[in-house]
Amino acid sequence: MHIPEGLLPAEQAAAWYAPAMAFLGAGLVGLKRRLAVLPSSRPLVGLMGAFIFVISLMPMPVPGLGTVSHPCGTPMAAILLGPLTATVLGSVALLLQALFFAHGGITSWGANIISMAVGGSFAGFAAFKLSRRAGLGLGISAGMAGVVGDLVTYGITSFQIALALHGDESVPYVWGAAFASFLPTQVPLAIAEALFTAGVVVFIANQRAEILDGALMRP
Amino acid sequence: MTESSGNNDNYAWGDSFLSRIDPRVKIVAVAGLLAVNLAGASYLVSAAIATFMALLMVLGRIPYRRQLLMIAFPFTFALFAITSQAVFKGSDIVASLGPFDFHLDGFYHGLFLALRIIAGGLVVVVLGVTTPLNRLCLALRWFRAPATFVEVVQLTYRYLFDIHAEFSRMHEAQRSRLGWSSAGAGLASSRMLGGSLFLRVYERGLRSSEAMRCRGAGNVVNGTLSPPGRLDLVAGITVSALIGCLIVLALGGPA
Repeated sequence: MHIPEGLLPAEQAAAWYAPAMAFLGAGLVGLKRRLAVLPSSRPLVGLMGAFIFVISLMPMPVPGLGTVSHPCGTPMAAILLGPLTATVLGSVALLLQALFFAHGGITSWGANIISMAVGGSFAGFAAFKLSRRAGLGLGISAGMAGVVGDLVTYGITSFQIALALHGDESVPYVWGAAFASFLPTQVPLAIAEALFTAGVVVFIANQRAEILDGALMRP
Repeated sequence: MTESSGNNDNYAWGDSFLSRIDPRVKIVAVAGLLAVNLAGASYLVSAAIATFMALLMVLGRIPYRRQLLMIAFPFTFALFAITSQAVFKGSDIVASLGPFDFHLDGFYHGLFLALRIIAGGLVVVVLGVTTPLNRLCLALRWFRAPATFVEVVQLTYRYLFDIHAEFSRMHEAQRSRLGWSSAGAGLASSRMLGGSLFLRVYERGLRSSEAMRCRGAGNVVNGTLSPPGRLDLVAGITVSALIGCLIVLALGGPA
């Protein structure tokens, strides 16, 4: 779930922006280099950005919270293009969703980048690499990336919400309550994201293995 | 989804006065309004912004269905803010439900947050609905946004339409051949469908990308924005005056 415009206090919005812009900047430097060396990777970059946009716009109502959760798509992008490039793509998808559907926001963009673009990409990619190192197959490793990236995203979002809305309660208590509220919808979504990520990555590996970056796929 | 995005652009290219305002003016105005909305921390400031933006949406003849669709997400989150604050904030208990106590002061704070969310949401909605993405990208480049970032925005937007087109084609083909036998069968085939969709859009994109390169297309947004005109000046002065009033309101009005 994306944090909407206006929810975060000004100082928290600014605080999330700082690390988000650092990740985005680093991702853009890497992506610029990649596009200069490999101009033919433009379609893959655009396609993954659009995939993240579509996948993270599939809302599922969260009972009792009055909000929605959704898959992320960033773990799959991180497997195919690396976590820093996936961070850029997730950031762009979040910006377009904010503009087209008010899903997310401009001042909350930094917080959303940290949770979905950075958290989803890096956690998913780490899970993928660790699974590969543990000797697991491509499909299972991609599935692990999907489930871990998805749950880490929601862990961070719950923390951000807890920090903004904890009121007179402690942040850990509200964090736990928010994360627990998401679990009934998020666990099935994480499993679905795992199956989808695994299925698509294996399908690509079988049909067009040259799209996959060998360095990223190696354990 | 992409159809809605397409409608966005269709409206944005329309003949409304909101669409004709220079996107650079809009970006500065939106940044100012969002900053005041957050930093003002006042019911009155958020209410004034929400009213102004709602008025703009009506005057700009943004279709009501589009308005409702776009405000749905901020609205659900506004309800969440009210509920969560009523539970987590305050000491004046007015009702209890199981382990949760509802507090009146928390409820009022939740209402303030809800108003701020709706006001901020409306500001973003007006920018998004009334500005074609191409002009927004030109404005971003004018503000020195990194060329790679703007290029990725354009690529992503463009591939949304490709995904929509290929998905519709595959969906129709599957329905005409097999129909949707069951949810289980649909789920089982979704991975293969997802992979096929990915490859089909990728190959289509690869072909058009190569064709564009052969024709000498550049990588960054093409075109220029014309210099701001009278309408832009009026819009800039109006929003500046509004922001000035809001700052005065925030400094002197009730928190």
